[in-house]
Amino acid sequence: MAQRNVFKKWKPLYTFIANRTLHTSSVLSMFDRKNIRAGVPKISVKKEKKLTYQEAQPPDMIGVRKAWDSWNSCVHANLHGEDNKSHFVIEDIFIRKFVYGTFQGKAKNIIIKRRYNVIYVAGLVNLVSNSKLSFLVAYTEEILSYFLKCPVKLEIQAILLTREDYFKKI
Amino acid sequence: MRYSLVYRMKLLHALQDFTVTIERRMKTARKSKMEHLGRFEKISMTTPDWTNVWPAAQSFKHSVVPLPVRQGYVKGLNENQGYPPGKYNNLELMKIPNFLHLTPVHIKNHCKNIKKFCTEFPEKLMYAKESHLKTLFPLEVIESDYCFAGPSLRDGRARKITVKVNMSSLKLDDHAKDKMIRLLGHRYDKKFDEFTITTDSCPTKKQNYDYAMYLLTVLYHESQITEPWEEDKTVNDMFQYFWNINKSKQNESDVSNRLKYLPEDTSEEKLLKVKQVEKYKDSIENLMNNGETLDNLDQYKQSVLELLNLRKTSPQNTDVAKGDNLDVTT
Repeated sequence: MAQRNVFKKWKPLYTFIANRTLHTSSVLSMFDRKNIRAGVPKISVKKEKKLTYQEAQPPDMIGVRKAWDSWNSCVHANLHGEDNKSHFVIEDIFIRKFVYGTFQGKAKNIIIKRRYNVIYVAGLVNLVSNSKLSFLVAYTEEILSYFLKCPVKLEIQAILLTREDYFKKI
Repeated sequence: MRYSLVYRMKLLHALQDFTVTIERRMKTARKSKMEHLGRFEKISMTTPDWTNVWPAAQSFKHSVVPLPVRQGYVKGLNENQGYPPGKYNNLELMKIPNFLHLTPVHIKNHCKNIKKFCTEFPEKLMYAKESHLKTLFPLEVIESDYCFAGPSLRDGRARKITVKVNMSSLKLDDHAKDKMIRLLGHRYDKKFDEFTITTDSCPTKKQNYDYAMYLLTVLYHESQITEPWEEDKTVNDMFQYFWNINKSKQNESDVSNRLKYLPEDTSEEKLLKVKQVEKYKDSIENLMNNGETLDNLDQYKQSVLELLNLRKTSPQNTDVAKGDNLDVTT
């Protein structure tokens, strides 16, 4: 009995090495969307999670059902031979963070358009107070113009969202 | 417990005030929501007022645009009760570039304001053919400007200048034209008889243009000058085939010299009387009538050679078996 135990303990290593194989699976296809977990919100148990149109579209629907957030920024719509791609990417990131912060999280999805020298920042804000909104808009326009060295114009629209203003419930 | 009248009156007043304030707040709340929904109902897009409402390019504004537009993909009843999302609270509509600043009303306005700066197109140029235009405007300068989104005007591609010149407008003589074509090389287009000079080595457009003009003047003046080493030009260096200096002329002159034995007036009677022609006629008749024999063929050959005057002397030896001992002069 003891001998058999020893034999079990001292199993040679090469058997493990010889048994090592590559694990393969079928290709993960876009059409089989059940398997994809990236950018897709998780389903809630009682179907109480509210999604906007932006959140409800998976990332492979950008360009199909969902347009881009930044236009003419040389990120995707770039004419041949133009420069400043990286410059605009970083500017976009800065603008988004800045606007998200100043509007206290009420301006989540921002659209950035560039027309010649001017940067237009458009979005929907969940604020109705006139004075608050006008101050914040003027403040962001002024400060962003100084930072980015070109005129920045905000095209913010105020929205009053009710309980029924959602696209989909998950 | 019964409250005093004064106390009851105060309570009642307080209650009334309270209800008034509540009502007022509700009114203002309703009003604010309706107000920031209502402007679009007051304007129509076909009236000239639309140009005042939407003067320049802007992102879509649901409260201003009077159209009942919807944007968004809906798979089933699960999403937005089956309807594509309306224009209120629609980010997709704002993302898309719109042309609401270029309606017919706008364009009419633009044209009206630009018209006073416009002049009539010159009538003589209106119906001119392109060949005529090329003689009127022999020099063509092509330059590009680039506009794009960004804080800077500068684009490196804008410094390039292309100058196209029609060769016939330069009025060069043969030697000058030949020399110019050699100097231009690949820039000369034979089909249209024009050459193109492209300059982009200088940093600014103006500098490149000046350089192109300088090149033009230098080319013109250099082609007028004849250098001493140009006399070494041989027949093989020529770009074109000139018949006068080439072999073909020599060949032709040889042939016409050979046939000088023929009489000057080449009427048919006189020609037939020439000895060589008679001999040729006899040899052919012999061949046709008596078939092909070695003798006949030999006669024919000699008659042809004499007709074309290809031999210096008449043959002494008619022995064909010894082989061909005829001299064919070159």
